[in-house]
Amino acid sequence: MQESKGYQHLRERITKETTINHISVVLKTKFSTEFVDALRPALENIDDLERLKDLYIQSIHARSIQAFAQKLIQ
Amino acid sequence: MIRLIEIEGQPILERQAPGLLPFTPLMKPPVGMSPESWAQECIDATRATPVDQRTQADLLFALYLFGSTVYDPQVFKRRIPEELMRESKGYQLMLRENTIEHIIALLEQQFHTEAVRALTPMLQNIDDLERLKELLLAAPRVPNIENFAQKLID
Repeated sequence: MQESKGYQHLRERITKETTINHISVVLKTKFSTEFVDALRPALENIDDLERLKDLYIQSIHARSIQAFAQKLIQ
Repeated sequence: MIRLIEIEGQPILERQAPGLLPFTPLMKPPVGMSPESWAQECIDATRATPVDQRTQADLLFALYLFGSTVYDPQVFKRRIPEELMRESKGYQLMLRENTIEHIIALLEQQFHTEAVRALTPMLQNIDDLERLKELLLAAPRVPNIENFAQKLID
């Protein structure tokens, strides 16, 4: 079942949503909610799960919302 | 052995037997109906079936899962909004696995990998998603791994 096309597709879809949510959660512990919410559409446009995972790690280390936004547009 | 593709799908949809609905995309569509229209019929029938919201979420998740074995998964992605599946057990299970993975990634960025690995079985024993979300929020704020371990056993 775990190797089926449907399972993999659902897993990727849910992983994308969860990772974006968790990036927002981490950023909101450090920065203003409005700024974090403004970045969400750019995050939603990313389908590469490895890139999202990398951004999740970046969100942990980000010292400013501008620095994170810079990583996002790189 | 029963081959689903040899079963007429339309009478099954009309019976509205909830347990059979996730398998209907694998069944024979009515003569002249395109595969995409058949998939849409199966989704519509599942959404219209009189069951509680949680059961409907389980049925839609299973329909997506089984339907994607014969159709392009995009067919179901376009037609089944994520929020309709969110309460399903399958969705919650994947959400839980991702949340645990993200807590571990957060901790590994801050503390020794071995110390984090020692806590991993305890994290994997937590089924309550709300509790995992609390731990996800706590992970970037704890001053040391012992403090996080204390939150785990609290």
